[in-house]
Amino acid sequence: MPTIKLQSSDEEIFDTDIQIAKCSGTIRTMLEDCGMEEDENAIVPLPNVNSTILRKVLTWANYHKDDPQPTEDDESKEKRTDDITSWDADFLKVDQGTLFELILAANYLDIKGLLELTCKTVANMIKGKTPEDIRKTFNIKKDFTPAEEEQVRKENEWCEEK
Amino acid sequence: MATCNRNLNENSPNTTVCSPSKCPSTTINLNVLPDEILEFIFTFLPPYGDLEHCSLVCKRWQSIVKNFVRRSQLNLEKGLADFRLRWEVFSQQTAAAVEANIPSLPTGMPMPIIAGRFAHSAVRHGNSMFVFGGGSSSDTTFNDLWRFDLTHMRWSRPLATGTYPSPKGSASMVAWRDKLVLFGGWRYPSLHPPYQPWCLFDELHYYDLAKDRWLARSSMPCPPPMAGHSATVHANRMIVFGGYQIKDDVNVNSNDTWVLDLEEQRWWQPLFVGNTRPAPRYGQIQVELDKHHLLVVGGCGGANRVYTDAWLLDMTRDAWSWKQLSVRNKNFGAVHMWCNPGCRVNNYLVVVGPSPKIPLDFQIMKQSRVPVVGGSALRFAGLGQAPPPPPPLYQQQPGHRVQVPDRRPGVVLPEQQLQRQHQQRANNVRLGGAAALAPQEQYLANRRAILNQHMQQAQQFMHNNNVNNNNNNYQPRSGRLSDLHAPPGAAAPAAAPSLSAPLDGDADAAQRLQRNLALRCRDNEPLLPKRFDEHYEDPFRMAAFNVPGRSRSASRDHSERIRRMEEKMNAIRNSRRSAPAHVEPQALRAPSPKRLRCNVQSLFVCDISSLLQNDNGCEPGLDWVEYKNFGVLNGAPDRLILSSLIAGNGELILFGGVHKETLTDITHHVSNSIHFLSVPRDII
Repeated sequence: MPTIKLQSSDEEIFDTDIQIAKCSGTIRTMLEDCGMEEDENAIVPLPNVNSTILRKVLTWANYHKDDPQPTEDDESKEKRTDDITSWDADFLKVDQGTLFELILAANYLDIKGLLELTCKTVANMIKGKTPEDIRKTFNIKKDFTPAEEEQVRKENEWCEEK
Repeated sequence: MATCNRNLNENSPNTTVCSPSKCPSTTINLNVLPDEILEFIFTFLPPYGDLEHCSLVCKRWQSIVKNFVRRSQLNLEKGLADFRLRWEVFSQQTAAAVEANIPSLPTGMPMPIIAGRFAHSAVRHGNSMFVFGGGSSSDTTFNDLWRFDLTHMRWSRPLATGTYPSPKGSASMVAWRDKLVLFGGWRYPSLHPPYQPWCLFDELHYYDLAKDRWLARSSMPCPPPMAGHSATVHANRMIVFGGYQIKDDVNVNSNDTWVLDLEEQRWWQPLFVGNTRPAPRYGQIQVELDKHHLLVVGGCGGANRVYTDAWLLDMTRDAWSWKQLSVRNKNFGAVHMWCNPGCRVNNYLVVVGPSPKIPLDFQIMKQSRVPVVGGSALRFAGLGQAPPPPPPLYQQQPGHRVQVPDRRPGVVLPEQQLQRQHQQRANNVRLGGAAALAPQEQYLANRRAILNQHMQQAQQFMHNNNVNNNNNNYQPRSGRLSDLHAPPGAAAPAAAPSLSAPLDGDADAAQRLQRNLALRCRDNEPLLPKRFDEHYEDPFRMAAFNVPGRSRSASRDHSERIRRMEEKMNAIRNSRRSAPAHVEPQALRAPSPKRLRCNVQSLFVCDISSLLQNDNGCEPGLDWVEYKNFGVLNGAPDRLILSSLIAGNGELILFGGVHKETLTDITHHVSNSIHFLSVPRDII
């Protein structure tokens, strides 16, 4: 099985199965565009991902490498059921910082499945919370004045244009 | 040491991103994520309460939510314009799954679920859909009010006080301020004394959402009792148009307009310029365009008078005026806009319903049709412009033909054979009982067949629901009546083999075949007493909705239908000549994934943007949008009638309805599923 070397921002080298590395759109494009596939010793630099995160990303990619492509033709879908598998849920039992870095890494590396999974996880953390709870959970500062807040409460974005 | 510094930098997240390696992650704040990722996260949230909370978190989030809302509105409109949408279902099973995922809920207290219904009234208020009344599965009507919380996807039934409305269906319900306004409706006649007409109501109720209280209102003058009228709110007025009414003790369809001043709770009738106005009708779709304009589309004026026209009511001046609108692209338009719901999404009018234009070859491919005498699938055709049923095709297709054995009275035959036999007998009876049947044994066999068929029907629907995910929670109570006549033990073993041994291993096809049989053969049952209303070919032409057609003569209609039938048969003959009979063997094999399902709801979309623009470059009118795939979208729900459709946030919400083929049955298959039509995306 051909491998490829990925280099994290802190200059750690990861020997990776090429098929696993290719789950990342960014790496795939790099390999294909630069013709690096033939070169055994080529090193792909990933300056935006550190080794901790890259290791996690590769763990995830390795676990999901045999996943079937999602099909569009699903006849009938049940509405809004939580579809995060238990492995993924365990995988994402990390602190918020790691989670956000994973999101950034998934976005940068263009790994759709991981981006969706991590964003869904964050959405799950938002769901069912009051604005104040959300601010507390994510350590966000409130920058509304009471009057502004009242204004936002009154507005219904969905019917604005009427 | 480094840790301390990081903590100090907490509120300037940009510095932490640059060197994230080995730094304690607690310092990273959600706001390090770029806008597009935050927006992507929001797409997973239910677009109701949770999204509102997000916009209240901080200014940045507010503007992202605003962006997201605009984008999803655009996406929905774009999706409607090019039929790139999908249906998703919220059924009892989904509810159970959702419930299981919420650990905070007290266990042992199952979430209440609304009973299946049709001809109910549904309206959206805030982040909830309210549903009132409607017809049940067993010829009764409800007067319960339910709330579906769109944020949490939960049904609840508010404990209401005050003066309840009567149990009724086809009432109008609108939302105004923090109140619901309910008017009119019908209920089934009571059984004693028999032969009463259906009951119509002129009741007016306000429901106070803050106090959960019903308030009955009466004032003079007031409109006559009516049902199937349409209503919209314009500022502080509710405009009511048409409906099936009782006026001076006579049942009529109406084209009157009534206005309710919602604040003063006073009814009045406007003056009109000229005599131009829509023909009398009920069941039409009425949508608000703006404060002074509304649109009325479709409706039914009695037997053979189903309208597809469109009218604009202009309320700007003191004297109001009706204007008929041109309807373009009519061949892509909905046709049964009287028993199928519609609603407005900004520039579009959206209607669900059957597609009459699905060509014959789809039906051949569909493989579920069986030889049937007088197919009931198009029983409603008598009312509309739908083409007459094409039974000859199916009867002549050897591959589809169910073999009819010689009559062996008293033997428990397989389901289909029995029914077939049954139909023959029915025919015989219709022909004046020419063929004499072995009386006693034949009677027993037939009775067993009826029993089977009811059992079958019940199982079939449950089965279908589970296996095919046909998206509806039917609530059948079939088989009870037949239990009275024969011990149920006889039926179960007879029904079982036909279920467990489907044709050619194609379970799907066999099920549908059986279902069709089950659905169709009641027409031909001589043994069950017919209720008075069953003598009509269509239950909704009876009683409450039955108004004799006036101008079109019966004979003209008849010859017209014969002519169309002949045309159809010729077309079929020609197509059979040109295409040799090669279809049948494939038909019963495993279904190809691309096959179109015909017995599902199609979507019809109409561009009404020219009505909304004030600077009239072109003549205002309706443009039906050319559909794709006959308006059949992924996950389309079963074709039900008298359901409700309302607009949600970036989605459309279809609820309830009844299988029209079962309206003549003792029990009707009614649905309590909610179907969401939206642009494909994931929501947690």
